[in-house]
Amino acid sequence: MNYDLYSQQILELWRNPINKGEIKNPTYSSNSNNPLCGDKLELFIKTKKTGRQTVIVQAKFNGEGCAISQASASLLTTHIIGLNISELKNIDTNLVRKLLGVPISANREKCAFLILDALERCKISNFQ
Amino acid sequence: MKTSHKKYLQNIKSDFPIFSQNSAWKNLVYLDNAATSQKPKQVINSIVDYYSSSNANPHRGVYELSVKSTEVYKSSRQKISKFIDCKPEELIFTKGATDSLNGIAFSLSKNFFLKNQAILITVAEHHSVLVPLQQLAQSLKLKLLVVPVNSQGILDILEYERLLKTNDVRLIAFTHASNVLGTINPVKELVKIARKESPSSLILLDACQSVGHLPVSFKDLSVDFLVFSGHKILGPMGIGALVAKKEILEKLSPFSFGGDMVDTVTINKTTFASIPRKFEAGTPNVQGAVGLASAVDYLQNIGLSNIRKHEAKLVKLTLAEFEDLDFIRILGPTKSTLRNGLISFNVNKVHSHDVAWILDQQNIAIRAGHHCAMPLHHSMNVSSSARASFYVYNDESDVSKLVEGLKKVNKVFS
Repeated sequence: MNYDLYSQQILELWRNPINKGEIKNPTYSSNSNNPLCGDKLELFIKTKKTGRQTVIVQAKFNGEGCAISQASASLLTTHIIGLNISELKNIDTNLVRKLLGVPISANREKCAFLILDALERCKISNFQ
Repeated sequence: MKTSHKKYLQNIKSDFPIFSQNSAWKNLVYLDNAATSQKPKQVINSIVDYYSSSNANPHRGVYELSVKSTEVYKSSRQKISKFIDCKPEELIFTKGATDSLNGIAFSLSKNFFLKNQAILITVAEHHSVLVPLQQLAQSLKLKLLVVPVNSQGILDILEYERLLKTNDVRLIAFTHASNVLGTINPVKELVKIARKESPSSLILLDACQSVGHLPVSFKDLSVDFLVFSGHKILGPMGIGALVAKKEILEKLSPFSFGGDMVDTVTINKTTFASIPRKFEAGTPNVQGAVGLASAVDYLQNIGLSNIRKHEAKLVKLTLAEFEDLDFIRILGPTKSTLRNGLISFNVNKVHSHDVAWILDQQNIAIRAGHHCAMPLHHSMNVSSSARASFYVYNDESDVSKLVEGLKKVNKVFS
């Protein structure tokens, strides 16, 4: 038996999610859903322009889902806060896998990458 | 009594290569039978035998091997039609229930409905019933009426009757047994009400969760259409059936066109073959029919009443065990006699995917999600559920392992 997928980190984030909630007047927002289980995730991002840089100052998510989708949402929102939006191009599934730190099987990719899909749906320039 | 029962199950399991000693899955507690069943060696061998000794394009060749393939295909149809209690020509082979349902929806889109008529379904329908009929209703501007279920997951028959009385319904579709709630609908009663209140309606029965699990007679149920899939009842994937009354099939337009379904063809006109070939365009899935016929043999050797009793016993035991687990909330009736061989449930605060994942770590395969029934889940105010579904090779030890597994789920997420 191994409970690797449900590492202490993931269970802790399931109990106490980070960045869960809404941002009033976000610069970007989006919805994403997982057709396999009907889970829905909303993502809110606030950016600030300082000189020639546009920096993510706040990122929050809302919605219900499994422990994996909730943990990846907590981890990715935490990761992007403070990034310049030009740095978003480095964010991909490999990064999400690394943040989660557990093996993700093909059938759980939708759960793990739901937050990534939401980020893509924000259509932030410089992020493809 | 206990010993003989155990022996009977052990014998059954040894027929399934996936559970054999040299299989990587020998210890798997497989409880996702409502999605698809495992296959006994008899079914697998029947397909190998067909390709080894009878393979040719049926119907077309005049040579002996093609004749043999035709005969094998024909005898498979005869066997399966006998099993479902219809005439051989009333059984159309399809890719599966979804294909059957899309076919019916396509054929009924032509010259069947009048303006402002309605299609009546239940909220417990699988997407394979709901979506084709929803699309049909939208394209022909028909009303789509939905019968609800009560908090116990039992169909509201009074509302069913009321909707039939107050609308011009032309097509009625309902499931024999819900793939989420497990509820077995009183088909005969529903048919009786329909024939009285809406005599011009056609009745379509989704028998995906009843055929192969309990005795089902097309003739006795007296519906107009019945659909089921082969892969859920020990047969191969890619074969299923649309069963319909002869007089209806003769009038109904084909839903698929091409070779083998025609009588004569000119550049401007085609006359169609007689039933069932009118509905089976192209080279048929002979190996699928052969495999399904073999599955039917296998099921009949056990006996459908015995399968029903076996599943009912496991469901009753599971319900009793679940009663002691205060973190489990079941969907559907609490009385096992109202159910088929599956139970959907939720674990307090834990998402169904997480339940399934932790169980998987313990070698227990269940289903998680909305089970292709999103409207039903919405109506019950749950986003998803976990589902355990039994079949012939499951036994009491599988129930114990499930219960122990769920205790672990609750512990991990407490």
